[in-house]
Amino acid sequence: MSIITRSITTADREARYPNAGELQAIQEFFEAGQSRLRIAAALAANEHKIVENGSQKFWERCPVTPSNSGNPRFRASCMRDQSWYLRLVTYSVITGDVDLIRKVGTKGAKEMYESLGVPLRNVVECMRCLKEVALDLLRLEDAAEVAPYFDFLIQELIP
Amino acid sequence: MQDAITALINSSDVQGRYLDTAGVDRLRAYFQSGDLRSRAAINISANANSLVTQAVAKSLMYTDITAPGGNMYTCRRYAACIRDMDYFLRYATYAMLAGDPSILDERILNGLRETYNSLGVPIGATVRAVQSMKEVTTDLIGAEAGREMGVYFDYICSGLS
Amino acid sequence: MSIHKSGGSPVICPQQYQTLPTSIISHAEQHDRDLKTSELKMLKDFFSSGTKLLQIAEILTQHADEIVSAGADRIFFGGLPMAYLEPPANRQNLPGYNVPDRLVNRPKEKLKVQSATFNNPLQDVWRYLKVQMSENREPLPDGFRPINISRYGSVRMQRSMRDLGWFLRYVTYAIVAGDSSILTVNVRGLRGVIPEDATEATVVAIRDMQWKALSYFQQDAEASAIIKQHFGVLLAEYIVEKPANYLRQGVSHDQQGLQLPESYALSATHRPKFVMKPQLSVTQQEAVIRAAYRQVFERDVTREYGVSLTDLESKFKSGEFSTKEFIRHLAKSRLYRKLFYEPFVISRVIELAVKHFLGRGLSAIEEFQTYFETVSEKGFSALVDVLLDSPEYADYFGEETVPYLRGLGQEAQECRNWGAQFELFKFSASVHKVPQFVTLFSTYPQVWPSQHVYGSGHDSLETQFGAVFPENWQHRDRTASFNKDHQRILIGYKSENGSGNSHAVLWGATPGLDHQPLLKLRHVVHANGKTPEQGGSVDSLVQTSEAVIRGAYRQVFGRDIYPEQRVLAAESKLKSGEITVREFVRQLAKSRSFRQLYWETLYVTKAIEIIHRRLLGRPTYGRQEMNQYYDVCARKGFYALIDELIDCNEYYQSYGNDTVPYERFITPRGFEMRFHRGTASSLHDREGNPFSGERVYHGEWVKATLLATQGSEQGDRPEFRSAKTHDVESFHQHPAEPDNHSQNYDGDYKVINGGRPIEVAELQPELNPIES
Repeated sequence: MSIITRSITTADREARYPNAGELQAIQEFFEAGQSRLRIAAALAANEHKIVENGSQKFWERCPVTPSNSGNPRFRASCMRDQSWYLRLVTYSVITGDVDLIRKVGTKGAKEMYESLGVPLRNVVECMRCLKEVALDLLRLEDAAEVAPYFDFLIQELIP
Repeated sequence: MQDAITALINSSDVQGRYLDTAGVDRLRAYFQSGDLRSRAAINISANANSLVTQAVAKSLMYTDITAPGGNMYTCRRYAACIRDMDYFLRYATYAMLAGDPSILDERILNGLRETYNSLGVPIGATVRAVQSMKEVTTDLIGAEAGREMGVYFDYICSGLS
Repeated sequence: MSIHKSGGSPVICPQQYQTLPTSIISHAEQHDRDLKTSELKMLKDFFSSGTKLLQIAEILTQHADEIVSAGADRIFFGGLPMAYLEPPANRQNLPGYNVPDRLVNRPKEKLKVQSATFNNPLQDVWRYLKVQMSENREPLPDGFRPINISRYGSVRMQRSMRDLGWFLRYVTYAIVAGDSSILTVNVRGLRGVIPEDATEATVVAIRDMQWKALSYFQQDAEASAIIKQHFGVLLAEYIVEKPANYLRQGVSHDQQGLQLPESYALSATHRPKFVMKPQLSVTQQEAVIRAAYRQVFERDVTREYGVSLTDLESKFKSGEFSTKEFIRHLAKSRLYRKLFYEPFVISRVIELAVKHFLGRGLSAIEEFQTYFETVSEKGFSALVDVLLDSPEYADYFGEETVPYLRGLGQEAQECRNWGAQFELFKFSASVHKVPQFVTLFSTYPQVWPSQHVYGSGHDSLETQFGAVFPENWQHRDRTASFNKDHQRILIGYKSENGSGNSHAVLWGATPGLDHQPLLKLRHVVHANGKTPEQGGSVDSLVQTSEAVIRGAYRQVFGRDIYPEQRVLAAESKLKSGEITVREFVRQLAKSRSFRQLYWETLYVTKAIEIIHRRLLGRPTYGRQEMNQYYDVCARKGFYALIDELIDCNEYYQSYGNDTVPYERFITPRGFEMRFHRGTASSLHDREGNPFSGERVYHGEWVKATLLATQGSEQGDRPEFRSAKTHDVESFHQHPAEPDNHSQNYDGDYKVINGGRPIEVAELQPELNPIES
């Protein structure tokens, strides 16, 4: 859900047209659209670097974890999941809403990681590393824009 | 429901990839048309009642359908007709704002034919009324925004017929 | 399109108005009891006064013209209003039509004579004055100005006269029905439809019609009272300003707000709401309890089953429980579980529970998903709590009201669950074991495919191999039969102007991968010593080996690969020119990681499908093609399968030695998964015919023809398959000389000139020999 779909569904619940305030918010969202696209593009372009560095940082902090055990499959899955979550974050930046992270990303994820034997604390730590590395690449104001989405993701995964 | 943004993201996400250039260009165009869209929405919502009345007067009033035996005969059915036209206009406006017709499917078109068949509402006349609503709306908001609204009115019509 | 998915269109006969008998009977029916003595007496009185009512109606009908003209003459001048009153359309030849007396008896000359005097102004004035001077008329309101007929216009005159006639007709209906509801329903809100400037005149005319009607019953006080009563309702309802619609608010983002015109609410059967209050008498309390049983168990269980819930009942009566708590206890009772939980699948349990406790059907798939989650995680009693503690329950029923069915006429209905909801409201709902809403909603297009990387929804194949769908008449439209003789429809690329147009980058994009240009490797010196043609060297489509390697990984593995999984030996051989791209692809496919990912963990059908798509760039055609691969897999194993695919003619012709494979075709369902219908891009296609329903397939993709339906005996599949790709390729590469293909295969590095092999797979004639 973006701000647009959100205000439309809210208006629809009461069977009315979007009011002036909602339209104002939508308009502002339209105007900020370009910079959102720019941030998302920057993250997407540096995906590999972010995931690489994020993993390194993660293994430094959490040396005892399946992905650092020398098994290439675990290693690859860990990086794959990071890039997957990073992609969800870029989507959310564009829509301006965390709904997508929850719906696609974190719903049921805890149970899944547990059943796969991946310690949740480490997953959370891994996401923290991903966040730090990603924010390092961005300008300060852009980083401030992106940070809440990572925070939400981390919050949702905390056991 | 989705809007132009979520539609693009959904289809990218199914394939597990970042937004491509073409997609980003589309989004950019959508953002740029934002002003046009919200102005049209303001305009329509301020004049919704008269748009609906005009459209109905233009296409349905004093035809066979309002004569005894017709499906719009008596005030009670007239009220329902106005209500439905009002739905169509409002949802078309939503869809225009969102830049995506999925809300029309979800909230209007899914099951509408069954509903109309159940109640004996003539589809042809409904389509005629929606088309004339397209005309009166275009007169109000101008050709450019009118074309955009027309996409969604036509979507409703194609869903009905 | 979604709208062709049907939940059924049960014929609905909504109650349009009440008569005295229907309102009495439905009232008793709502309470599930026999008619009371008082009600029977009312009915008896109504029937005995029936002749009287019919007489009144008859007299009014006979004098209809005079009555209408009395009203019209008062408000119009400058002509003969009655000349504008058109007789009802001639339906004499239609079945069941009885000619009304007043038409038969109407002297035809009378009208002629009158029209002869039509234009005599003096006579008009005199006539007008005579009408105004008549006795006993109600005085005109201050400032009332009669309407000049010639200025008013004949079209409006006709409409006005028609409406006056219509008013009188409905008054006679109401008299016979013994109930004014037909007037209330049909007149309220009319003021907004009849132009506002005629409101005052209409009121005056109605008053005069009443006066005229009463004049036929001067000695009859009873009849006068009846007529006055209905005309009174008519006037009162007409004066009401535009009535408000009843709004049904959505309770979550999945629900829409809906409006019900007031007249619909008025015309519906009146349903009493059962509310428990401490001051109620014992019988009234009993009625509330029985209503609760009827709602929750769908019948009065105490009577039928002799079930005793005395403890609960007495607590409820004593006020220890609110109605809501009483309902909660009933819902969690052993009986409810036995009746509505144990015999059903969870999906149906949810549908029935929503009916019992919220009085409606499910509204959206999202709503169902929430409830389903609750039941599966915490059990049925948690679902009961969720439903009863929801804001919606509080809004509609509060603490004290017994839930009721919120059906047609009670409030505005959604159309997406139309058929299913009416089925659900029937008494027979509890014998239907198959869930109705979930199955219906699942046929509507889903905006959100669920797709966690590990989730079941995240299947890279849209074919759902192995899924078994039972033959089910209800959902026949959902799964077409697919057997060994069927072939899939495949969608391919279509070029609009041939190769080299300005949109080359856009439409040349590969679906499912990043929009990157065709990847082709050019060696400076090839192993066999030939040098490539000079003409191709500047072509931008020829890529560096790095890009080709990355592209090959993406194609073969379906994504960028992680360093641990790379096949370094093959990479360096490729860079040094030791092996061709084709050989490189082969080595990737035979690598340990690929085998692990796409062979060892999958069952054979799915493995073949995935590998086939990766290496040959299209889905398999169907069972016949699969069969030969099954054979290879069974006899020779994984590595032979890879060789089979990479060495086949189709691979050669599509990619040659130096092009990285790319996706050439996908199935329609795959197409739909990737390009949701009506994405933002559809807006760029405004010129398209909006009614064609084909807007979805705009742009680069076109729908392919159906390859074959059934009955084809194909022994020589590989051959015509290659024949087809041959044609496609040749059209784009060498339109003039389709035969010089062979040059492409012998290691001669000819650069493909810009375009992609891009045409609809037109295999129909070849694959369906029955036709020929």
